[in-house]
Amino acid sequence: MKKIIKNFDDFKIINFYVGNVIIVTASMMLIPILTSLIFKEWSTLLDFIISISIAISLGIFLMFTGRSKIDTVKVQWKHGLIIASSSWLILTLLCAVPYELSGNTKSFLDACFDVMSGFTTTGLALTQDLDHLSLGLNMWRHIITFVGGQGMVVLALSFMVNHTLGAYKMYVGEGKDAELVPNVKNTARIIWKISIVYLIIGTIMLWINGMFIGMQPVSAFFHGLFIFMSAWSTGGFAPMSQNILYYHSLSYELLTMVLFVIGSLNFALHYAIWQGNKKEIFKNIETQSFFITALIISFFVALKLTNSGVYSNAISVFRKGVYNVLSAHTTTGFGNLYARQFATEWGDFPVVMLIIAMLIGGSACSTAGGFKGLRVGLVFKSIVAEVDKLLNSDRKIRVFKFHHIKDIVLGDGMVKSAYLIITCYIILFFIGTALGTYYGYPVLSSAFEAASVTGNVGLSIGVTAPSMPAAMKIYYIIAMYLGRLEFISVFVLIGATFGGIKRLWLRLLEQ
Amino acid sequence: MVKTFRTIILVCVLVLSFPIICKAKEYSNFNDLIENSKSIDNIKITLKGEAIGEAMNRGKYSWVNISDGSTAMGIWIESEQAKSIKNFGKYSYKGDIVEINGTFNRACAEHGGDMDVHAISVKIIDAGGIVTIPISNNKKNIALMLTVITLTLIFLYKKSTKSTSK
Amino acid sequence: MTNKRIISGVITEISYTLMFLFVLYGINMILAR
Repeated sequence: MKKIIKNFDDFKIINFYVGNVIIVTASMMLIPILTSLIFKEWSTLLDFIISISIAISLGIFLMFTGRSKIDTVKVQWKHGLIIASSSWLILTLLCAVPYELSGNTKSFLDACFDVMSGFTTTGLALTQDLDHLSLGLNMWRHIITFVGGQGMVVLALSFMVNHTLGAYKMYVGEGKDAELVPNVKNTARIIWKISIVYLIIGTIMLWINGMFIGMQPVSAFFHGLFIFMSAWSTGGFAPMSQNILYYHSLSYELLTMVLFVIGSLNFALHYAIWQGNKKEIFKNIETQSFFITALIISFFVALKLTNSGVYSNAISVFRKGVYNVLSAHTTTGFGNLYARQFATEWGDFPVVMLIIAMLIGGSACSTAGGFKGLRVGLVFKSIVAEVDKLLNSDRKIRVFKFHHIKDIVLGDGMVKSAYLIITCYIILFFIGTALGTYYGYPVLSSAFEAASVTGNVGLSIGVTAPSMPAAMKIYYIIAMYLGRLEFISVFVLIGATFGGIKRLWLRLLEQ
Repeated sequence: MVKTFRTIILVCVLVLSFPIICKAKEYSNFNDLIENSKSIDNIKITLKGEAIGEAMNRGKYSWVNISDGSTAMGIWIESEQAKSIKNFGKYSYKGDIVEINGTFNRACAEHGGDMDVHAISVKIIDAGGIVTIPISNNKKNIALMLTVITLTLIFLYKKSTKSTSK
Repeated sequence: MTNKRIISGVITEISYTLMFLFVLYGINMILAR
């Protein structure tokens, strides 16, 4: 009997914190409420009032059920993972309500798709009629991607500090992060500080540039704010249906490139540079990896696009080729081409290059997706190390190291986890590709879209549309979620749920 | 004699006007433009759509993006001509429906590879204006009810936390 | 973190990114000759 009560205690603790996360996130709806109020978008205002009420009520209810236990039960690491992964699922449903009420999505599933796309900073959209969207709803879309992006990193740090798989151990550095700050709360605060500083600087730069290219001050401001939030979080949402093509501007595209490349960098790297350690940019394994892969992929894409005559001058190859390669590689998803143009104009080779760029992805501990440059760098170094071991005699054992904020020895454990996570991503990618071909989409298009989803990129070749089969929408939602949370916390959630149910059932049978 | 002459002239007019009519194919679905971009590259076309967002003045010329309902296309127009477009589509606003005749570019060399249309003529077909978005009474009532419920819950929760901390 | 550090950090990051983009543009110029 005692054990059953204990299980319920776990449940209550989780409820309390999930309720907490829901309330904090739902409070963000106050911003679109304020926006709609100022711009007299009455219908949107009501949509958000309804949505925020539902969310906060649910949050309070959950907190009620768990409140009595917060002092008695200690929050463990496993609780943290379940709290993180389950709040995401619940929030996806709650944050979809404003979309559904607006009538701009063809189904609730489409609305959930857009929310998950925002939270995971993917950027694929099923929302219709973006060009006539209310400022309030557009504000919401972009807030979801900005807060979702940062929030995920912060959440990950808060709960995943101790786990051994993946990039976080690297970042934290064997449990003791003397480099950054001694505790997670301060780290989270620093991450927000960095983001807010860039929010102010980036928005102002885009605002000024917007007016420069002919936009009115008010619209230039909102476009600037939205585009910044999307660029920094490597999201890919844009306020207009043409995405970045709407602006027809080299300067705007350049600015977004600068912002999304910086936004894709590891927060530990930002911190190191801001502390004065400028050499870190060159020494860090992730920037090295990104620089090399971005250079190689851009080179080949530019070469092919020029040779096959798709674009006639250097500036076009830069603005269409390089831009989209970087957008794909940083997993941002900003585009200045119509989705179908990748399929009808580019030819197979550049599309394959983009797929590779999307899968490799950006930096760890950032809003970028994909395998992550850290793992790619580790895999590469481990191959070199293996070959070296085979070639050299047994007596000479060379120790391989890599640099990530500090010099770290290339250990078997970290190499194993890099290979493991990359394998998970590849499996996710192949299932997505196969699913697309099952429903009749061409192989390369299915692969492109699957890579975009797996790497949380957001570029589309035209597959993502309201007419897409529901099974694909559901799979893409799951894939975006798994990709962003890097599998582990979701597996723990599934394991704990089934394990918990099984244990409970067995105990009840014993009685 | 006069009758024959008239007939010949009439036939000539009809025959000659045919290619002119055929050349300026009108596009109302922009996906056709994108799918067939290679075959209509550098050709004069006519397209019709709603002006959205705003006209972005870049000096002598401006950018106006027009939408067919789901896809929007960039039009490079002389700023003077752009001034004739008074209404632009956005939330609760319908933009002017314009008919553009101009050269289509699959990857405009002048504009960094953008797919665009360099307009020769601009015609306003339908003026836009404010669109009222209807709000059902149901929505108003539900919103009110939910607000009351939420505020009540917040109040109750705050009260219970105060009583336990005493 | 002092304000001076913040400003210098931001300028460093933006300038290195611009240099990186310039390198990529340079490659284009050579290829599209």
